[in-house]
Amino acid sequence: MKWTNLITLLLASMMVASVQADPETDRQALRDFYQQKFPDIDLAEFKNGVYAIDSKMREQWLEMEDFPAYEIAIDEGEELYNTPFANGKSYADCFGDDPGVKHNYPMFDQARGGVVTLEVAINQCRKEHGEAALPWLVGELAEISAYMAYQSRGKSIDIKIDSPEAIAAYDDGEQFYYTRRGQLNFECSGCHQQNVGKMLRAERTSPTLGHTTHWPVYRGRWQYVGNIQKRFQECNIQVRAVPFEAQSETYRNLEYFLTYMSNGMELNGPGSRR
Amino acid sequence: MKILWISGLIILSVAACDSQEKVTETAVEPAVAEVAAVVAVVTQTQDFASLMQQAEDLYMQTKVAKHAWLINLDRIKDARLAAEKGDMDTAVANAEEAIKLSRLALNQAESEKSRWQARVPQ
Ligand code: HEC
Repeated sequence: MKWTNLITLLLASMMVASVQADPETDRQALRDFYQQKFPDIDLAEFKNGVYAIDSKMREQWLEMEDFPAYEIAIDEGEELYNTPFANGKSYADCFGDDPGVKHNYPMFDQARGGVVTLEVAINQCRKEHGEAALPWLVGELAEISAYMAYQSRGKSIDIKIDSPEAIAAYDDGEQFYYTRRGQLNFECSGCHQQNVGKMLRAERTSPTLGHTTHWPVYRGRWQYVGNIQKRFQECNIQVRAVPFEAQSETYRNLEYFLTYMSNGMELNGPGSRR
Repeated sequence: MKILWISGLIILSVAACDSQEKVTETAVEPAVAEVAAVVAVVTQTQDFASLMQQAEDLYMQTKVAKHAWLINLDRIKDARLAAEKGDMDTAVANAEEAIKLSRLALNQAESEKSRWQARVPQ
């Protein structure tokens, strides 16, 4: 072998060696990053998103939370959840006696070879029992998801990444999060990490940490409860990128990565945001 | 494309020679202009069709690369609308813009492959 070949081989192996860090190292590094940036804030507070870092906005939000607009969605969701399917079965046959299972989602389904979000699991349950799938982002699916989130309040996010395939899905989501996209050439982390807390038009950007604790969300601008992937689409559109399909592999992997970043944090959904 | 131009020129010169012998100067000019206009439209339409094909192919490539930009959809739509109205200059300009911007989006996709990792907190 010529020595030039040897160098090429060496370089190639170095490139392989610079693979992504493991999820737990990433998560810890992200926490350190925010703790340095906001030394006076308890990281657990980030479950409240931007309201953890903006006291004026926080006051308005706490007033909103006195009569939360998502309450109707929880009630509607509860009714839907408990209404039996045509075959006499119900969601409990898929999720067990406790509907509070949100802390386990998204999970990597080894048999299906992909990430299963709570919304995917709800629709899978429906299909298994002969019911039509519901639209992903708003409406009944968001309501059922709101009820399940409510039942999961107080539990800690507990995402598992324990197979090479699951790690690959996580890596894909991580790469997406840090990759610049759209005509404005901006990455998710550009707004939510490097420029966290800065004003963007009328909004202040919130930290990545805690981004998944409180979904689905009633948003003032929407005037209804919607799922997190609707927010993904909007953030993609903000940088003038073509958004991805709800529950596409891209967004499921993104949600998997993003939720893992908040592992161990307390669930407090559904939430309300401006 | 070249073939079209050449055949256009042939038609023009044939038309010109032909008519010069038989009819007066004044009658010749409108005939030549008419043929030239037809050739121009045919050429531009052909140009536009291949530009559009290219714009759409490149857009699909950006989509596969997961780096599609909204503006490219707008430009392709604008190009199509202008062409439907017969405004071929605007149509061509929009298709060319879409092609240029899709190339930028593909560059972004390529260069980001090695850049994103530096942004992950260590
Ligand atoms: C141009 C800046 C910008 C970029 C880039 C951006 N976002 Fe956002 N994002 C915002 C703003 C502004 C808000 C609303 C205020 C806030 O942060 O809660 C927001 C809100 C969110 C929220 C809701 C936060 C909450 O507490 O409910 C999530 C989740 C989110 N973004 C995820 C993403 C993801 C994923 C990406 C990349 C696909 C991304 N963002 C890219 C600006 C951005």
